[in-house]
Amino acid sequence: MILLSFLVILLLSPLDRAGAAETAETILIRQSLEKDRSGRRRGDAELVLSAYDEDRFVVWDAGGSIDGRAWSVLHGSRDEVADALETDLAVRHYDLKREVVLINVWKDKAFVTTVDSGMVIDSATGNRSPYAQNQLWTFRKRDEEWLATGVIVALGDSTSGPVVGKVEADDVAEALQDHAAEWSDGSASGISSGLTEEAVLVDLYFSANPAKWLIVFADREEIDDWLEERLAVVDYSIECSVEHAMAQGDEAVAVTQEQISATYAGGEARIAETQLRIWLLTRSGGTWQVDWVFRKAKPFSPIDGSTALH
Amino acid sequence: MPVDVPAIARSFAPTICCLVLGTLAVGCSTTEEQVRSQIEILAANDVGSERWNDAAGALTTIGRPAARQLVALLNPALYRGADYRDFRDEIEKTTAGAATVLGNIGHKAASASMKDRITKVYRWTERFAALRAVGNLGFNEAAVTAIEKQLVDSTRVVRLLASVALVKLGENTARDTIVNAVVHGDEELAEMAIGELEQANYHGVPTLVALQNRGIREERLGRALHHVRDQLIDQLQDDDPEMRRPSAAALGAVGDAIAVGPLLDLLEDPSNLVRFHAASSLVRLGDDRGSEFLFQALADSDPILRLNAIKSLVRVQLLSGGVEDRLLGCLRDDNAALRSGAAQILGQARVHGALQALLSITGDTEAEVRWNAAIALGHLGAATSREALQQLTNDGDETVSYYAHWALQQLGAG
Repeated sequence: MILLSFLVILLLSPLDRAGAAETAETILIRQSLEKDRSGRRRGDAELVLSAYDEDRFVVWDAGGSIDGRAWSVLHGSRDEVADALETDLAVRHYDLKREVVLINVWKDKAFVTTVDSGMVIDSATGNRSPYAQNQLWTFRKRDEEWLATGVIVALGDSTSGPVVGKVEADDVAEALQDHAAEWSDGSASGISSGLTEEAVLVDLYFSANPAKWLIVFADREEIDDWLEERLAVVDYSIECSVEHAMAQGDEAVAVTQEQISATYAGGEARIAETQLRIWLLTRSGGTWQVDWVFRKAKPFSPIDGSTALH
Repeated sequence: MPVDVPAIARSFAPTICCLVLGTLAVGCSTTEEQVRSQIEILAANDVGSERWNDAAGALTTIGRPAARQLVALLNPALYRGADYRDFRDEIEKTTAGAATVLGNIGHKAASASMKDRITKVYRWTERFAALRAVGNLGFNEAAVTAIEKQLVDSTRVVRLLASVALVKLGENTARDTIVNAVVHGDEELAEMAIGELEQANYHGVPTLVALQNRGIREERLGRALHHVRDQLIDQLQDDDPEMRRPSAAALGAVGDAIAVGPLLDLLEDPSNLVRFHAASSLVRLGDDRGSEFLFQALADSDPILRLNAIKSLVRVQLLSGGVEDRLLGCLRDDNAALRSGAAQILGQARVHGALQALLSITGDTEAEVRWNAAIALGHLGAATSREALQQLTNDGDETVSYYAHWALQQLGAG
């Protein structure tokens, strides 16, 4: 109960960065989320699925933590999601309320945090159980419609205890090591080739509070433009250690700890920084590519779950 | 660590050369590209380092055309897309740089963003730069409120910079903090306080002079005042009369005769206010040509000139005296405008030695002189003027009678 209260406080904290102001985009995103919620309430899987991107929709299980080292792929495709949803709605009813806590939009991408609460009702027995769920949604805008491309369920926070990552997907780990090497080589094309066309980069500013997070790039083209200028003035050297890599089918989640040093063409300053990064990857043509990356995650201790001040 | 503002100022000259050479080297680069390039140098060098100062100087030289890109650097939410920077340390350098430059160029529109950067959620260099800059952006109620909150900060440097920022905005409520830093602070804090006043342009002059008059840290305060004096003399040539006017006024307070020549030139200034402030300062510096100018204006038939002369002579008399005898002489002049104006000044400046002379003109033939004598006597509040004022309450001129009643009220029931 204490954990739940803390979660709610955390997720409902002031939207100082995301901005509380409603826009046309946030209204459309809310409409999509409402389709998902009312579809679940009415047992209408088709209505739920209409809120999801037809090309790609992935469900990740955060395992009650906001530390990516607890995350895994729950359903790796929209078809899998559809099957699971139909099965679930056949045996359960959901009486849900949904609080949209924050919506962060940049160009045609967005992430949203929601808190669902209510009751889940067993169709066979009528038994009612309390339901509470925190989610982090990813969205993209297609043809003037905002569609969910993924959801991370059972999202937790810094009180969720120690998390030790598992490196089960060696090919994912290898892809991320290669990606880091491209940064050290200063190869814009090499970095870019490791990204999907729709790759999104979110800066978490070392915070576990999503209200402080910011989407900084909305697609590969934007990243490419930035890299072209950035790599001309900054020289990166990255030592990448993969702490967590889990895959299911063509979807994967991973966490790396990166020792980054940077020097500048225009001066003497040197940067030395350790960053935790959470990666959501997809396999295309046999190659793992980064679809969403959450940079500068809050550095949780893998031993006791406490947070290191940054 | 504090930003080395004097170093930024010193760096302007080489910076201009670098900028010109840089512009030639890049040929047809746009101003936007030049600004971007200098911002990259800010990002790549430690705050206060020579190269960082050079870049800040170059951006200051570019001035207003750089403002849009610089204001964007103050807002953390705008570090995205093409403007994304991976590292907080880097953002600190660009934010501090943007604040410094926007303060140097006095970009008023940056005030709203700047006041948000002075809070403790930001890093020291960002806060210090923003505190220094926000004082240069002109009075703004919201900015003053935000700065005043910093006066209770646990860090003495923040409190000092907030106090100086308020002085620069014309709010002297925290001047004691600066004075205490110089009088009772340790060497480091005292030096910082004097350095900040030295960089505060004409705003810092009254405090510097007041401190010098206490006879402490004389050598350092003398150097600071010399620095400001030279800056003020340069500013007498500025295109903006709002820069020439306070610069001329402050030179009177600095009290250095070296300013007499440049101030004399300003007696021909196209701006009325500049001329009068220059003349006032000349009087304070003991130059008769200043008082000649003011008394000629006091005798002029143009009421606006007379009004300016009165204001100026009141200011001079209050700040340093020196015109009292001539004003008393004016009370006996044939020119009624002079008698009337002199009475006003003696009253507003509370020259108690003028009591008898003022009483002597309560029977003046000109009603305007009589009512100004009544007002002046009211300001002085001397009981010995009661009888004369009571007589004036029966004056045939309604205005004289009205002000005589008012003056009696100032004297009280006794």
